[in-house]
Amino acid sequence: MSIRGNLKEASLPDVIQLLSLGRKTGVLSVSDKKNFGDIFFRDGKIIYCSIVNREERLGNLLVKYGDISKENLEKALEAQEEMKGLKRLGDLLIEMGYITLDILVDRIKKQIIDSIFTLLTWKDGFFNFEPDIPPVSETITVELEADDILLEEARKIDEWSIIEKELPNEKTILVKTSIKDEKTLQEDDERYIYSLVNNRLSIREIFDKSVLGRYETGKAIYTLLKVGYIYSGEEKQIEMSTDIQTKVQEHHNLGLAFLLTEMYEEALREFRHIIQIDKTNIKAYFYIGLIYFRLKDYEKALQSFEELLKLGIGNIALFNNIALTYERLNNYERADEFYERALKIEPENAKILANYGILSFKMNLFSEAEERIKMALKIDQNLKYASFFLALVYFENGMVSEATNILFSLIKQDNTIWQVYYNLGEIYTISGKIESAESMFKKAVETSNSDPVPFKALVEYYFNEKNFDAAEQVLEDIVNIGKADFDILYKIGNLRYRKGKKQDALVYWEKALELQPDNEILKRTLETVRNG
Amino acid sequence: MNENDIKEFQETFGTRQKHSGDTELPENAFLKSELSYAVSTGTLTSRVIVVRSDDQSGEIFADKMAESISNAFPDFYIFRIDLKEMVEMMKFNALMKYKRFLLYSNLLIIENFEQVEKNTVVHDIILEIINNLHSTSYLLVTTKKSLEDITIDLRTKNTLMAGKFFDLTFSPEKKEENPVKDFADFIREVKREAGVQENLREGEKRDEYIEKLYIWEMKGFNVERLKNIINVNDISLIKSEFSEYTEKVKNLVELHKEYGLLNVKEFKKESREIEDMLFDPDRLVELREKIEFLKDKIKYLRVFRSSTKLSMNYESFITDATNRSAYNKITEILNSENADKIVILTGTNGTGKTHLLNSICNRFSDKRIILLDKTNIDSAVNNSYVMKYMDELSIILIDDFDLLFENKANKLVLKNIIMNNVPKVISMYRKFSIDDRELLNFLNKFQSYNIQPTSLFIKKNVYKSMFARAGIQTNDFLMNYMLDAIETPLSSVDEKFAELASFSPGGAPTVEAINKVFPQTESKKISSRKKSEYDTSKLIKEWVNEHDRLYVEFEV
Repeated sequence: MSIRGNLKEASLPDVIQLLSLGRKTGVLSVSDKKNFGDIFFRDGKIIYCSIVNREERLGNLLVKYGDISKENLEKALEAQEEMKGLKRLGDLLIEMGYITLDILVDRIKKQIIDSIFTLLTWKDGFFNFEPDIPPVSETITVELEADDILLEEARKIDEWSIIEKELPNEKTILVKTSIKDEKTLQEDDERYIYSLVNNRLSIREIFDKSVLGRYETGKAIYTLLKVGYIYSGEEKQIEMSTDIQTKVQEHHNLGLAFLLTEMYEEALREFRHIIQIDKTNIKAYFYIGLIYFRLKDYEKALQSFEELLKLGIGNIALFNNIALTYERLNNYERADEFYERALKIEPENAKILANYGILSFKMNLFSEAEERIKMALKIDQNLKYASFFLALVYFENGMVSEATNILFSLIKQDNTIWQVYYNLGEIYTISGKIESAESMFKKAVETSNSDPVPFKALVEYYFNEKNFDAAEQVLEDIVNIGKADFDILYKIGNLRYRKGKKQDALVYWEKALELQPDNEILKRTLETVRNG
Repeated sequence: MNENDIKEFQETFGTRQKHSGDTELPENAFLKSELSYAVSTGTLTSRVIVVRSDDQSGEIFADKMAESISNAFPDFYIFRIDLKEMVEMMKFNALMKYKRFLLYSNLLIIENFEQVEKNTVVHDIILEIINNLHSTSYLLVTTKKSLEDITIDLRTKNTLMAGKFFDLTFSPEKKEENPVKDFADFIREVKREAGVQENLREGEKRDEYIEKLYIWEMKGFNVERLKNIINVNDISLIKSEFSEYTEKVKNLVELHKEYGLLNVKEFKKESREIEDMLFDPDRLVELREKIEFLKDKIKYLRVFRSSTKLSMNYESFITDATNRSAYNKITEILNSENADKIVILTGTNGTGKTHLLNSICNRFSDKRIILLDKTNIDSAVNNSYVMKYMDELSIILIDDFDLLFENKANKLVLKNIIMNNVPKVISMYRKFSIDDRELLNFLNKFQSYNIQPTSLFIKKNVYKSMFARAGIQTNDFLMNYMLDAIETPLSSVDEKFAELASFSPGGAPTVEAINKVFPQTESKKISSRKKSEYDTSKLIKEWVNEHDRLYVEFEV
């Protein structure tokens, strides 16, 4: 289950605290709609934090701090290459004696704290927590108590809100006034930042160069400006024309991050940016197609995928997605064509075979469906949706026990899918094994949380069994989870009336009538009952 | 095949001259014209030719035939089975081992056919070969006995009897019955009557020349030139003109022969032009050029028609709504009643696209139609050969276009053909598999006909006619079994039935034999299972997360 929300409604420190108290493991993604960051938790402790598109390769960081020399870093990187990346860079640097573990951990901690600080400065945006997702494997993680960080950073944040307002635009070049003597500077941070100011670097560049944290750097610049050691010069224009390649990469990284957290509008914006820069960027078209697909705008998805066909791209990922899009548009013939084309490239691709089988199933070609899905499962037995549809195919072919067997094996793989229990229930009902159906529908209700469909199925089951008390109970459950519709309310009304609870019945019927004010039958019923 | 196999095959079935080289070809005008026809066309005048002789004449003729064709067409497969050798040297194994290769010969020679009675194994294999020969193969059989006297099954006998028969055994009265005149006899007669064989003596009288001139004229030759000089004083000029004229007539007669052997039904205009010149010695050079040109065109048509299957004709093409409208459209185009240039046939395997194309080829045999398919596409694209006479064609048929277009080597030529103005019928699995936007857009302008899978009714009728043709008995049970269990496309079912016939000589085939010949697919077996009666409408038929089915990673 994921936790998600808006930074305007829930403050980020609260969310972090909540995750920490709950001893959660996973990743909290935060976005201010322009930038994107991840905080990784393990058992409630913060183990890593990263911000998309921010330079944070460990090696460069250590060189920036002056912990290791560029030459030593290159040597270590070479050694890592030779070992085919079996060892992490940090471990190698320690092994080679260029750095101690303490310093390494200290640097990483500083970096994490600084990143968290940046995330805490975002006031508008979204957050999203996905459980059980670890950082990429080569990351060296540390353990930080969330409370400690929050306490320390909360103070800085307050101050930062003032500093931020006072700081000029990030493109502004900082210039030394040369009125005041450097030696009169008291604070180390200020002296350090003053040394970076060379009348050419913009504020953003100084932020990047500085080994101090964002807060410390910003505060030092703020002070130096206030006290008159430096002043703000012109805005730096060169920055705008940074390498196109890097720009595209940055949009791409952001787009992907937004896509993964289902922030589709933001993701679309990033990938569209890429296309503005590079009209032939195939990945951008692919992801735009993907996003429209997820937004269920299949026509637009198709348009974007077809751009790739025009660019001469033809791989299975593309063919599969186009086929699936056509399937959604109910154009089965075209879908069929694209699955065929994909299979020509990779005849034993389980995903394609399964998808093609599902299409065949939808086209009522059950034998083809069975053949394809079975083959897919032979290649990859963990394809859950393939098992799910194979059961449907079996049942269409009248093979009840094969259908139920495969659904039970699917439950062994994953017991959280209510649809599986539901279908089992239906199969049992339809094939006359009524006694087994009830438990399946109950399981479906339990697993579904709040989807009314399994509840309704259970209600129908009890109605068929003439077990009206049980039916009524389930109907009330639906009302309690707030998913009651006309049908539910009407039925409860009927049941209450049947029991002689006239007033109760009227209450439910009236509620139902609100949902369907033109229902003549109900109107007449109400009238009759009210009048006597 | 490894090297030893190849050696063994060549030694057993090669056509190196076995019969003494100095033996002269039997003096028979028919055999001679058969030879010259074969040399110019690469085919025999009939699919089967049987030569009967008491001595070695038949074999000598066969050797000569093999030698001449392989000289003129070095790529041809010409194989020879000497049954005497087979029987005497007990070479059954080789025959058994290589029989499937022999089916593909352009010319297959079977010598000493009468020996077929002597060994049942040889008998069975030879009959199998004869009955399963590829449709483009020609068969030359030599025998010492008359076919009536050889005990073989009725079907094979009918096949052989349907061909041409030459009897070289001595029977003078038969020869005299022959009503058709050889061209050689004709020219001898012309020469004798015109008196050109005798040397013209100095001082011979002008009247004799005038007389000769009239004889030439009566024979239909253009004598304007001679008429102009017949009255000049210089008799030696007349003499030399006459001798030159005679020489040209000789050459003309040679060309008559050559032309007479050509099949010109698709080339009415060209043949009219040539026929106008045939009796005009002054246009000899032009005529020779025209005939050569015509021969080249005929060869061109032959190359692109060689793979058409005669068995796929309009009569055996049982039409239903979808293929009938396509067929009508194509007929309209061929009769210039429709200005459309391209007809597209789509449909999966076994829907009858190939059959439709073949039946068009066979039905409109007097039109210049070529059929491009996988068997001749290489010759077609080689130096763009297919484009040589493309503009003169009535229609181009292309089978499995998408398949051919997949091969890079074919793309350019195929695209050129499509964009060319000659009407075309192209068949393909589906239009969208063509990876060329421009071409696809172009094709989209034309109507395409989706040929529906063959209905059970059509299938049944095809099977019925196949059973009858292959001489196999059948019954309702077998027919139903075939309809249920067999998925072989109708386009290739022909060969299968021939194979089935060999498993079931005389009687009805067993289910085992059917299963052996017709491979069954797994899915077909499932399809034959009855679908359940359950109402499945309430089941959930969508996966929880449709995104699982998507690819979210994209690497190029």
